Amino acid sequence: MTDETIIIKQVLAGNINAFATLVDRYKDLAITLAANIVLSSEDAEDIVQEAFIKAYSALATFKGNSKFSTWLYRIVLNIALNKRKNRKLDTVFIEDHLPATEAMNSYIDLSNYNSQQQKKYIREALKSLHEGERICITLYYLNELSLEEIKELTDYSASNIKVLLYRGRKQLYQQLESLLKTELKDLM
Amino acid sequence: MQEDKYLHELLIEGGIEIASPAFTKNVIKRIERIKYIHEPLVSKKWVRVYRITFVSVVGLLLLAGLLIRLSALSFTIDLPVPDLYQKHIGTFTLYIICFWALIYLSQKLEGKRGMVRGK
Repeated sequence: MTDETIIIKQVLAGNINAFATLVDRYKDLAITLAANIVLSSEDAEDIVQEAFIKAYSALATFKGNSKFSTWLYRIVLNIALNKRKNRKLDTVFIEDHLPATEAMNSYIDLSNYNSQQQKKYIREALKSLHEGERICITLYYLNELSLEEIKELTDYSASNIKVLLYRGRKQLYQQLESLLKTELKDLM
Repeated sequence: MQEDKYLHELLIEGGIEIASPAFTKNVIKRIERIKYIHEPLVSKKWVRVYRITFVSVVGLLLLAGLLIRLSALSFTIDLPVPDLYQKHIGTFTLYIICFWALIYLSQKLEGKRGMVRGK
């Protein structure tokens, strides 16, 4: 019996504080996923709060066939996509946050940026991807899910996921090129 | 492959959103509130037991009371039952109201009429 199964059993037995352990464990990654769909950190927090509440209410129906994290991310993904659909957010939103020249210029020397600026630049680079690519990149690299889990979560086919990952990676490479080069140089 | 590894590290380093410090507390607060709103006063099983017991006991008492009252009246006044009903309409109306209240309360106890908190 895994640690997570024990926690879930405790929650089902009425121990609400055990659920706080699960919230603490997955909140950041769930917010990251939501933020990469709705492109707003504030909205992402609301979405993830809602997702945790839904997960709590439906915890008795969780059979344990998949990991709790995969099940939770599915809830987050559904809520975030619905919210995005309702608000009719589109790529114009990205441009509001990111100056076009900065977003598209792959020759910016990121080594001159401090840590906070680098983080901001990485997030903006992620935001500049198409939705499908962004979701797959987030799930694969940030949430560290396998292709099979992403397939289960998104309903994309395996080949589609590979294509989206390839395209997303290519675009991220272009945007983060200088930063990657710096890191490689540092290591050599 | 190496680039992929560093891309992964870069994304982990800079792409993860951090939840606000009060996030977990807020989620637990919201869950507690919802739990309180949707939690029935008693479990369904016990509601059924209470309902059956309550309806049976109070119903039998009312019925017994009505029969005793009727027989007592018919002995004392020596009138047939229809005439008794006309003469003591208030008493019978009271019994009918009691029966109605009994049914209403039993439904309420089951949660059909908003006994569940917050509804």
